[in-house]
Amino acid sequence: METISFPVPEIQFSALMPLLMVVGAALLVLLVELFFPRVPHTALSGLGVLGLGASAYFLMLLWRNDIATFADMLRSDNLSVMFSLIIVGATALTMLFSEDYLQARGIRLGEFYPLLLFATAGALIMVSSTDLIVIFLGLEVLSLSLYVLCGLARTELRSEESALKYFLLGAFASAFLLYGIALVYGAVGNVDMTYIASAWNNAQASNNPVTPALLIAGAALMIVGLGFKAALVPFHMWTPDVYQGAPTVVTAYMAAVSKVAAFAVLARLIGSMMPLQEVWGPVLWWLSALSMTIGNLVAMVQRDAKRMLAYSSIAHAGYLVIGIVSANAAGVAAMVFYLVVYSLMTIGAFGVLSLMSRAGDNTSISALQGLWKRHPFLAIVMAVLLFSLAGVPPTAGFWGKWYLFLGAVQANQIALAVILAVNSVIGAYYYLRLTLTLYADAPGEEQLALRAPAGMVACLLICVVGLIGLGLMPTPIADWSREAAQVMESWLTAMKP
Amino acid sequence: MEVSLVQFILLLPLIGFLFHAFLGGAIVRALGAKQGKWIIGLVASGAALGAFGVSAQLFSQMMAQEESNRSAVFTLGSWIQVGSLSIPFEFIVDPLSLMMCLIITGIGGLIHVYATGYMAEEEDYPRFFTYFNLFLFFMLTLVLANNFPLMFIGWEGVGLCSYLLIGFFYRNKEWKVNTDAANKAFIVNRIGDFGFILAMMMIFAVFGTLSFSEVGQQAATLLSANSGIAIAIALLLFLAAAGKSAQLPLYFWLPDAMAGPTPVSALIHAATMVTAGVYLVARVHPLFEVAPAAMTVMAVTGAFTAIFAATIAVAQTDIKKVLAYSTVSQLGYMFLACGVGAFWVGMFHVATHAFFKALLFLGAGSVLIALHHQQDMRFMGGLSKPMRITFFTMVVGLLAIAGIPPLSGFWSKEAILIYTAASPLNGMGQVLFFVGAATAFLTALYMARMVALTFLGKPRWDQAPPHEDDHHHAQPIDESHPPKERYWVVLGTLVVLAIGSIVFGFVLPSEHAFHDYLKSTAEATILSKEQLGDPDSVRRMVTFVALFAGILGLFWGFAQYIKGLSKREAELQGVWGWANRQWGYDGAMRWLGVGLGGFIARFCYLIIETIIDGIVNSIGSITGGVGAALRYWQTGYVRTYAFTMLIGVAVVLLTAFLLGR
Repeated sequence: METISFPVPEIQFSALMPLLMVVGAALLVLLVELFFPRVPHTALSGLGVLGLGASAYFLMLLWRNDIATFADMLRSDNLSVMFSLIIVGATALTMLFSEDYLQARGIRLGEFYPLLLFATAGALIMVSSTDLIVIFLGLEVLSLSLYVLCGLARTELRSEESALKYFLLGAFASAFLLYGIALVYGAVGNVDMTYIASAWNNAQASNNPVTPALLIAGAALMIVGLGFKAALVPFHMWTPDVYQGAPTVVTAYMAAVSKVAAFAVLARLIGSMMPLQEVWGPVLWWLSALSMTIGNLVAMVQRDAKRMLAYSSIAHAGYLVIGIVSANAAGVAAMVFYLVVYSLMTIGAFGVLSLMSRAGDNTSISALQGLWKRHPFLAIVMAVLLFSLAGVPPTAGFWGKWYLFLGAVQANQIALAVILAVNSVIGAYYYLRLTLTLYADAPGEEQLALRAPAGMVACLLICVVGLIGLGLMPTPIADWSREAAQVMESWLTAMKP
Repeated sequence: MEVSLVQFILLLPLIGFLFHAFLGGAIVRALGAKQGKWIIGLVASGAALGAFGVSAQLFSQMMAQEESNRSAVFTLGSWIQVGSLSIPFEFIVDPLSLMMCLIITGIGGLIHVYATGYMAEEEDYPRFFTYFNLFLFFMLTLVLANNFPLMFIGWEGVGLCSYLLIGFFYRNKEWKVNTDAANKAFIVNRIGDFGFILAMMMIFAVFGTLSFSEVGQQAATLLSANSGIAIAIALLLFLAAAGKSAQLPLYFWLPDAMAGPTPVSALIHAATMVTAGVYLVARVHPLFEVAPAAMTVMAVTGAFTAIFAATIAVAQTDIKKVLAYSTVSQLGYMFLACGVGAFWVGMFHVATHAFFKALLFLGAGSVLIALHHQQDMRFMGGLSKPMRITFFTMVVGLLAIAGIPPLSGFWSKEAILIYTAASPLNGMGQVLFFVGAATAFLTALYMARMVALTFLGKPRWDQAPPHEDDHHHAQPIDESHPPKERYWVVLGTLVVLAIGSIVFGFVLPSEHAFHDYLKSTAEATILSKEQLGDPDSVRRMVTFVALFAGILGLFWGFAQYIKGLSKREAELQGVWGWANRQWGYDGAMRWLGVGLGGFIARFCYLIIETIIDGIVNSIGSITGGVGAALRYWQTGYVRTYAFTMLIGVAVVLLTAFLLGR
């Protein structure tokens, strides 16, 4: 009998190591939990952080090495390394303070750590591929883990509600994304996004142009699917409810990591669809403008700090889209830089709120009143984070907005730059109002003892020192972001018609 | 030369600062006041003197180089990189900056040592040295910076330390004068800093760079055709210098700044920080040379400030105030020198002045220790006997500042007057020379007056009214307990500085040595020989006049004041009162700033309150209303959310099709 010859693709394991480290750590934690149920959970989170550290180490080895392996299904270039590092870093930051939070909230489930690591693995897959099917796989790994994580506080109605809502709407959005991928495959004949541009150009060049309707519809639906993950208006409706209901560690993680992953894919996708700029340009322009404006306006009238941050994260997603709409290397570099800054700000801010919410699950703004008198350290940290979110120098948030603004101006997107500036003012209003609440008002009746455990302090210090350090010296990370964005630039210039 | 050594010059005071800031209090608590203070004083002085050692090492390496090879830039890393604007952390090592480093760390180190004695009874000892070391760090950043923004960090940093140290005794509620003086210094300096920032922006607009070396090289080509901009830049920079270096119209913060502890007055408000303006002018002198009109303004302002402050100094009764006005006056000399194009002479006077003015301030400090912080010279007199070392060192300082050869002050003051007299300066050189000579006479007069009132004549310190100060002294000063000199570190510092003043004068038998040293950095390069004038033609005449003025002033001063003040002068009647009150200038400024400024501020506030706030608030409530309306869409039902998404998908698809067709 003749054996079927199966072409075994060449595999370069160096590109796979970061992923393997994360998955390996997840499996190890699962096994340890299974066989030694009495092991303290701090050990589990320690194992996880070790795995993430190893992953970061292998990622750094990959810097400036362009590798495409697994029959080009997995790509490791500077862009993917940069995004992966943000994801791994954000996960590690979350892990630092999760054990204490989970204990305090009575969520004594060791599964938390493997799930978090699996989600991270999914995000890593998403950012290091141009193959749409692989990206979808990564997205589902990320999403499924997140659905479970959102409902981890099983006894709490709000957590359950959050998980269910996220699941239903997420499934809805995934369907759009998958349908978009299918349509693109139908039009291009390949699931690798790098083929989209040539397919479009060929269609335009031929004498009998085939209507690229399939391609346009596919692209639009993929933008919808990713827009849901990135929480862009009008696909943002789930965000406040899910962010508020989910355990705060999960919210912090979700707000940072799944946004990074979504934007990484969106950036690559848009880069590969450069000739279609006239199609997606205005669409993303409107998504950006709406997200910024609606996110900020609604955030302004919130009475719950966690919910306010959820809406503000929608606004920040809008800012980030500017980098993509600019469609130049400066814009993408600005987006990468902003994602670094955004991850630090968001995780830090939700971190502080996680301390509030464990004390009676109250994250209303009034519960933050007079935090300065109750816990000066937290108040200072929160003030730095809020200043950075508002984009006040010398914090990194200023440079993040500044680079995005510059990218937009260079791309001649003056209107968008102006909308960004106006929205920064609206944002500054509610961030600074919250800052004022921390310092000016007397503490409310609720005088719960606040204590910041070591992991939390470490995480917050990293965030604050990082934000101020980057604010004073943005150049190193800005340079790396620029170098990472050069990957896009070669695409962008090569594919411009 | 090993230019990387420059980072250690900066690092040592920074380490000292961090040490005191984070460990100082704990050390005093752990080891007790005595030993704790000893360790803190050791670390603080060690940091300053260590930096001096590194500076001296770098200096000797530099002097071993060829003359053309003595300038080097050390880049520590990049700082700001935006578009075409590139601002690295870069430090320049050349004769000019190293001279300042040696002054700052050398004289600064001595004053640190002095302060370990002077401040010995102070409870806030660690805080004092925290600020003191931080000051050194910022001052060194200022002089070593090779671009405007980096210098501005130092510029603002020394301003901050000055503010903190003037208000050092803020805890004493009855001494509100301290905090008021600190605020005044800080606020008045804002005006100068405003000039600095505007000048910086204009320079970036014209040159596209903010690096000193590049700006200096391109000044002649880029600005000579555009005299309006050249004058604007030079005048704004001079405004900055006038703020920091206490020149008219912004000098009036410096006399009040004497509220700070005496070592602060000596280090910050006499020897180093206030000379930053002169240093700035010398550092970017090409920018001034292309704007002769601005240089004339600078020369006239300097000369007028010199004589104006000297007349005020003659009528002061507070020993530190005499020295403060004297500092303003001497700084005026320095700007006069810069204004006539002899930038290196200005720096020469910076160097000699740092020595003798630090000496005079520290001597005054020694007197204050002995008299339990009684600063009024009307209640001194006859201290030459009980305070022999202080007296002799003060006399050395007096001879130096009065311009008696061969002490250091003579050479630099003579050089200033020579270059002023030689300068054509639209025919004003001669006029300014006579102003300068008159100032030299007044200088000798008021300094002789001060020494006579303090050390000679009959003792009056037992007539002093009961005097409250921060410390509780076991013994009042009376017949049986005469004032006495205390702390060997204080006296040792005085002796070292006095020897320095003398030796420095012998090392520089003429201005040539200094000229050759600063030739590459602070000599006018764009102005021609004709524009500068020929100093040799007037040398003999000027030397004679300067010497005569100094000696006359000394004799007059001693003859007049050895008996103490006349009743009219002691009670500040008539012209004495006017002169004592700065001829009304401070009052006018107070009226202008606090009175008129306050009125304008209240008026603006009214407009903001009613009109602008009205607009802003209505915009705010509209936005808030929109937000609240949008919130209702957030029903909490998944079906609403899914439906919204669906609408979004439909719109996106439709738009994409319409656009892609």
